Amino acid sequence: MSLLRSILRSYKKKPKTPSEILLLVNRFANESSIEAGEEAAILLSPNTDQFFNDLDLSAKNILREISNNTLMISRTTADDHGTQWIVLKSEDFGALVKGIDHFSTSIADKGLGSQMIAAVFKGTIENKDSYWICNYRTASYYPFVPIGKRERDFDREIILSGIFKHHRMPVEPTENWYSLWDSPF
Amino acid sequence: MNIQTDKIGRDRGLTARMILTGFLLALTYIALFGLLLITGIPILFVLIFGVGMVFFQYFFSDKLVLKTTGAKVVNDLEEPKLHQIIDRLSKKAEIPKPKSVAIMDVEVPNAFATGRSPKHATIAVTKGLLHRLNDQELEAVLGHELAHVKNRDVAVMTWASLIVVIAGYLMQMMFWMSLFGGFGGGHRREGGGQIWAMIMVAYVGIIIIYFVSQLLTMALSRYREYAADREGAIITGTPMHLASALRKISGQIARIPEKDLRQVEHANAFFIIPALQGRMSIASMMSSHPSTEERVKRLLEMQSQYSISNPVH
Repeated sequence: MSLLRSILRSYKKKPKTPSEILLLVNRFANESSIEAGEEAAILLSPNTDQFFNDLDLSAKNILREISNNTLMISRTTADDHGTQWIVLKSEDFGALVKGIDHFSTSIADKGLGSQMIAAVFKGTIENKDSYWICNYRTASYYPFVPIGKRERDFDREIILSGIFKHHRMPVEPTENWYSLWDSPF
Repeated sequence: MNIQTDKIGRDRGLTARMILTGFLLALTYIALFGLLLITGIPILFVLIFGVGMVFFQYFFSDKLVLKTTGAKVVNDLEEPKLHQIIDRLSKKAEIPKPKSVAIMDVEVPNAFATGRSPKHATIAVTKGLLHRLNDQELEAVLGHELAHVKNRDVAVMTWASLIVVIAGYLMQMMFWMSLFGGFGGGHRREGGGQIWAMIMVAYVGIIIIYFVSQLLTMALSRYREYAADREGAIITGTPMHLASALRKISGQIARIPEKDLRQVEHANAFFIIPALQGRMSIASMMSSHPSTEERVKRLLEMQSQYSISNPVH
């Protein structure tokens, strides 16, 4: 990399809004060792709002606002931790990321921003399943690479976080790389 | 994954920074000797002392380091894997195999190379390093250490730090002289005041030169680390494994929590704002090694620069 390129890169505009940060995941999806998946999800901590009572209907209502035929709701589900998931699907990773961003903005506009925990993207690193988690609270990413039922592939997580940083994505401190076992996708 | 090493070029930015640092270090030498000339401090005495110290370090550093770290030299029957890797990598690096390989009975993962030339070099690793790294990461770390040997970093840094040794010695000498009246305070009434003022100027000047040369030497040391990372990655062909090893050695993995994201959600554990990280801090300027983050970033940049010949499974 030339000196000029490295200087220009260091002055690249840093993302500011949560939406800008969320969309950063597009930056590294073309890395040679990385393959983006067709599904991504929003993890929600429900409260008494009607939105969570019929999550499926709420999600369909948001999807109607998006004029993208490739995007669909794969499923909505609740898990054993009392949290809920809206899982989106698209063959076009760019459309999937925009869809997650639109859902996030729409849920926040309903005054439920504080109920959103994370946006979770699934892909592979060196052909192993991995999750790229965007924590809404800190607006930063971290990796999660499970092996089997309860083990983590720290080596690949470290490599993934390096790739995040290489693409100037805000990365969660290692102390906050919490696992996400049994995710529904 | 292996990179095609024939496509790796020279890091011109890094070379330019090393040359600039060397030039600035040369200026501190000129400043120091200029100061000694003006104040009449005997240069020859100072030079003999400084060069003597550095010669001692240059010729005996390997033995000294092995003694102080308690590293035990191991032969190829005791540690066949370690010897085999070093042997293979030395051939790839086109240098003679280091004279000895040593192991330190320490659980902290670390490694170092010492010795003034490839023929006199010793590569030492801790038991912690052997326990925590996989074979590819171990190879990457040994590649980095062999790069230090190939680049003759012990010799370069020993000679570069000569000015720090001399300035440090002068600083101490003048401090003790000031305490015991060696600055000629008793003769001030006979016109010695001017001499005293000159010596004070020299004292302050030497303190400044000491700190500036220290900063420059540390900067040079950090650049040599980057160069060894790069050279080591060229030797092994896998920058990402050195990146992974560096992360493990820095203890980052130990900090990854066991809890699930949804368990901590209710405890508001996420309201932690990442600390603002400046690009340059005093601590980083005084450090002989660059930050792990920066080294990993550069290694991953290197990995992504070159075409990939085959994936890791």
